Amino acid sequence: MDEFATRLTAIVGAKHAITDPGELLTYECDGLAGFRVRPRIVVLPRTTEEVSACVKLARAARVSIVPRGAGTGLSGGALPTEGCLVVGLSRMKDILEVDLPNFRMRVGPGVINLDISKRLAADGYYYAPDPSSQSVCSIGGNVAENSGGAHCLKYGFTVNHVLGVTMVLADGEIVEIGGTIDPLGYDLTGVVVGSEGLLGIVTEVTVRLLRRPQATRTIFATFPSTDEAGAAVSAIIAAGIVPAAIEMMDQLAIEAIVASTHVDWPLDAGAALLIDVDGITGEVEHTAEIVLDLVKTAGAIEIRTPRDDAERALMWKGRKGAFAAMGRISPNYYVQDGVIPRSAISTVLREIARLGTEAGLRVANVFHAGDGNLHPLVLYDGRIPGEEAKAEHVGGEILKICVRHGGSITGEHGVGHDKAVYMGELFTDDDLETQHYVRCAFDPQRSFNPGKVFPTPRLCGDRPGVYTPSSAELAGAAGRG
Amino acid sequence: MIALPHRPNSIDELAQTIAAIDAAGDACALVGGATEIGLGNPATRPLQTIETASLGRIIEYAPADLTITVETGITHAALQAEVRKNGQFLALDAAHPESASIGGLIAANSWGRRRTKYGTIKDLIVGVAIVRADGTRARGGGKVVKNVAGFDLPKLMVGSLGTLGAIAEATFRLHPLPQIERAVGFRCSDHGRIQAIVGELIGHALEPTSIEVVGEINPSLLVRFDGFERGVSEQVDAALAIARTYGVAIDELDATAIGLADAAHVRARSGAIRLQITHLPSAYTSVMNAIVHPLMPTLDQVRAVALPAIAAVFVSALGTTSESRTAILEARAAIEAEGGSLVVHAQPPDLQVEAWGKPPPAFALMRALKERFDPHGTFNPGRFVGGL
Repeated sequence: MDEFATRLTAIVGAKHAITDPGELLTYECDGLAGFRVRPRIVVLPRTTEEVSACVKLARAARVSIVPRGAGTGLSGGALPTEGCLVVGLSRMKDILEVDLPNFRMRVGPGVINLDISKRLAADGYYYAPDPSSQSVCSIGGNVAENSGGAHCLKYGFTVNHVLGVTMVLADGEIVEIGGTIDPLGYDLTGVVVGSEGLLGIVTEVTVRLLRRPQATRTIFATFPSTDEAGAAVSAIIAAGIVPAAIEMMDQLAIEAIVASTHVDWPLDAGAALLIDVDGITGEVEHTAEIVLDLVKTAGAIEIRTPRDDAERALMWKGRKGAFAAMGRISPNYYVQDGVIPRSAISTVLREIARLGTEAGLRVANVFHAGDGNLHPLVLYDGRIPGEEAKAEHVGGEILKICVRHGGSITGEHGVGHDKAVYMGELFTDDDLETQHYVRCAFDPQRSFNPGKVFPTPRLCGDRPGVYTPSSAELAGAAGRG
Repeated sequence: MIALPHRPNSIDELAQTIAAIDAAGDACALVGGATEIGLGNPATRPLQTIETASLGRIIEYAPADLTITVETGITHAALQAEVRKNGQFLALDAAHPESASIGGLIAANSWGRRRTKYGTIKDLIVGVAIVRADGTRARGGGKVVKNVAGFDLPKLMVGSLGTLGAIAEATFRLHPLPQIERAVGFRCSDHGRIQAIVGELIGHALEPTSIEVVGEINPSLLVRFDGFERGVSEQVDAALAIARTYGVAIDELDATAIGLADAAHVRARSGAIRLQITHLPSAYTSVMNAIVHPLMPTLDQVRAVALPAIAAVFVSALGTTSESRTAILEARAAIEAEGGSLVVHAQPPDLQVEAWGKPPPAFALMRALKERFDPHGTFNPGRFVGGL
């Protein structure tokens, strides 16, 4: 064991510093399993102070640092870089403070998303963002990716539900960011959420808690094709209704879900919608009736409303298990995540289908239709030479379609390693340079998660031009640190 | 000689103007309707004014997608008039919609009573285009409501007081106009009772559009609900039932006929003062009794509007007294000790209270951001938190 590893071990303990090649296998990739890089060492610290000490050591040794949550990310955000230190936050899973009078809760980054709401269930509160992986993904990872989920249509994303964080910066300093109502100064919390591990390591998160809605009505409807289902989505939005969630599944997705769960959804439907409306009881009854009418008018074949909570839970379990279900109908699949204006859903789905046909690959669709967040799943057989590359190509072309329609290359999975090359489709060099300023302000030596998000390596060197001290600085009221 | 304001007619002209000012080593401020001009400290260098009134184009409005992209010189009223045609609205209050520019509202992170239900600009903005000090145009975010590509420049701009870059264009998500809005008022007489009632409103999972407390001696609670008729009626009934258990007098009010909400935004009159106090939600009663009440007699023609569900109080007055300055600083010290803040939104020039209060723990990061984005201190130098 080299000196670097020895000193890290002294900080976190022998059990929590991993250098054994066999054990390191687990950390070679995240949910984007197509890419693998072996880290130099993995540490699993237990406290903020331990994280800080590890960061200081890595910085002194000029070793890159890759933070890692539960490893469920789908864009390779936690993919190690060659020779890096991986800081895994899975042991920092304590619920540190539950403050119901102030509607907030302070947790370690390793706390599992769903465990927050479970802890609060008896009190009638919950944490709103619900990525489909919520039973296994951690809140620290959610903060890194600004995770969404089905119900962010009404409730917003992680960034709308995080009040503040404790963060270890590149020099090992521990800093409190936000945490109060309208914290003074720039919205650092807003920038840190979604920064994909490039700005520092979040070691505590203060989340906002919501009261459970009085009522929820769930509607499942099948349609001849995604055209009619897309028309139903548009009609619901046009009627002035903001449902909590509108999820769409196409025929292939339904087939996979039926094969892997116990839902009895019809296999001959071209598409299905799963819709939640929630809120005030009377409002929910009213809007659910309107939604039912609109869905019928749009051409629904069959409409189901769950008889009880158990049936409702099963419907949502089917939807949330959709990615994993793909294994039932294809040896391999490539998950894509793109966004389009919701009015373009039908058009774009047809373009995606054509892409698949041309490439000789099937594409399943299961996605957040209400906010236009597509998740095309490109199915392929990795044993057939060339198919994986073909699937990746189709995935990339799908992103270009999204951008062409005014959308984005990622709605919730992040840019990470996977999509850095596509950032140039969405942003100009000037845009990226300006976004990079943020990174330079936090981590000028780019120690954290190098190679992610930004398509080409960028330096944080001094820009041309003579620095002019501000008068406050001259007066000694402010300095440069 | 007083320099005439710049008045660019396009974003390109704006970029050229800014680049020239930066290259000359001068400083500038963008000004829309000047409704939030009192926010912040005096600039530490003379400012050239860039008026954005001619930058008010609607760039793209997609009713079916509930999004709109505008040049930020557009007034709040002009934007609302456009989207209202399709039964939509930007869920953001402005005290002076006819003059307030969208850019100014973003820079000041301005908000009003409807924040309770709809959030702040941070919850509504999805994209931004800025002009940097060197004249370069740069975008962050996008035109769709869900997007995590790249760092969140839109959020960084909200509440930045224009100190990082010129906020030139913005994209927002819109909401459908509610079918109706209704208001109920409860004469409560003490803040402890108000806090208890507010706690019950939230505890019953009601979704009020706004909750305001007006009147200092005999405070009244004003609660509004919007949405479809059925849900609103049900919520009004539920709120009334809760209030009855507390034995308070009830007024059912016509939401459209009362202007109490606008008391939260005293028009920026010469000599007027306006303070915003934020606190922990649980500290409402003690903040009102121990901090806001002692402050009020030291101001002239004063009123306070509290938004307990937000945990913020606006104190506004048309004049000050010899005790005002000391009282404000004492109030700030007290609220900061409890993790809150007191920000001066407007004050007479002779009062000279530092606008923001104690810089936050992460201030060094903010200074680093400022130095990266605006290395010469061209935008609004010295006006923001901690002298940024």
